[in-house]
Amino acid sequence: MALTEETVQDKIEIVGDYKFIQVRTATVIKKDGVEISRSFHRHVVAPNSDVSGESDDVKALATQFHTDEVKTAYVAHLAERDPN
Amino acid sequence: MGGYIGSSVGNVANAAERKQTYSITTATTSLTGLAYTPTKVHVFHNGVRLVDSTDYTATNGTSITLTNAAQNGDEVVVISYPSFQTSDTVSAANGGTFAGNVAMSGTLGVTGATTLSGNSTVGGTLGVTGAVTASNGLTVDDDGATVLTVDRATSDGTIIDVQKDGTSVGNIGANGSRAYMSGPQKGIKFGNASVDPCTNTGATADNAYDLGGSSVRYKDLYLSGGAYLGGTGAANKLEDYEEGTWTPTVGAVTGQTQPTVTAGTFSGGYTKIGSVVVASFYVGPFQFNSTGSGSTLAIKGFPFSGDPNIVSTASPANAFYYITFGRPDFVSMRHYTANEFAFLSSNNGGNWGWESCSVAGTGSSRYIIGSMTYLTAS
Repeated sequence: MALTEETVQDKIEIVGDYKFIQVRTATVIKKDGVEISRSFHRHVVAPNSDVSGESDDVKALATQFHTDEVKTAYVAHLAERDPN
Repeated sequence: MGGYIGSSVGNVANAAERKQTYSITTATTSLTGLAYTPTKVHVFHNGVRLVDSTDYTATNGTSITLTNAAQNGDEVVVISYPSFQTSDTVSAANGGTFAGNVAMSGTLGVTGATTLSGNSTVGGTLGVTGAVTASNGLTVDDDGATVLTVDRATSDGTIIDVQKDGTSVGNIGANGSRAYMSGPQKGIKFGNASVDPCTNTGATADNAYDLGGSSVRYKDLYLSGGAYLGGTGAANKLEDYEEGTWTPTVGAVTGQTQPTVTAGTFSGGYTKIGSVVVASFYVGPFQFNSTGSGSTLAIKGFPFSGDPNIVSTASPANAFYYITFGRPDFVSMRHYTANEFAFLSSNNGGNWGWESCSVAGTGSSRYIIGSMTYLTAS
């Protein structure tokens, strides 16, 4: 019996006007090559986020979608936040 | 009427004869290459019938030995008959039984009933225009081709009737251009893009049957799409459910000066049902420095982006340790941007305002523990 564990980003979504990148990382446990467990961990990458620690896929999507235009609009959006 | 020499006509068996003629060129007593049955043979020498055992010997079935040699120019004729008796026949008029094998190279036509008590092998196509009853099972086998074709031709209805003790308990049939399988009352019909509930005649049955029952349940249901609950509109579609973890962080909202955070490992969990996200978080212990003390305090890193078109605000189902808010009457969290929720507060009757990182001071062992329910656009 061999138990193995692997992590894979099994879902990457581009969401909303500011192109937030939602990343789901799955931890997959396999017994003799057959999946017996899968759990998820989530994080979101905003337009002005540091992507240096992200996967190549996320970096590529950030390059594609987090354009200067999107980043500028996002900064303006942040400045508009009003608690009332 | 002329006379004859040899056996009378009445003594000759009524059967097909075999005749072989020898034109003698050299004196010989041996006639070979024959196939006859001893005692069922007649030999004629120049037209004169010879006497068995006197004029010739015919005992081995394949040759005859003449007592007196035939001479050059003579003609010897041997006529023989199959070994059978007239009593060993099957009457064409009255029928009978063949005890042995029967081979037939032509067509067998039977207008009455046929009973085959042993095994039967049909090497070609078996065509039956009437009904077929198999009382001891029916096995149909083929390799690499359609094994069984059942065709009801032009009308809808049952093609295969499944019975128990002579009573129908279900059927497989055709309804329109679709096949269905049914029990006594309900079934399923197979379409191009769906498997639909139907009656026992294949008619579509909308909103009438259950899938499983209170004590007869399916185990798990796997859907790559969603489930329509209570209606068929887009608003009735539940297309996502997910449980997982996320890693919360604490600090100032994005775009403002960030404090330096000394922290342990924070933890969070979430459940997403449709567009509703319930996210819990345990943030602590942590410690800020004085940098960014005026920036808006937020919990960050939520697992799904909040819907920017809906202002999500959580009641303070939170616990704070060594956090002193500026307007402590009502403390809440509100979607700030992306996956960040900032703290805001108000005193009774006053305006809301963002709470700053300074509420945590610069001391150690600060904790914020709570949960947030919000809507996501994904």
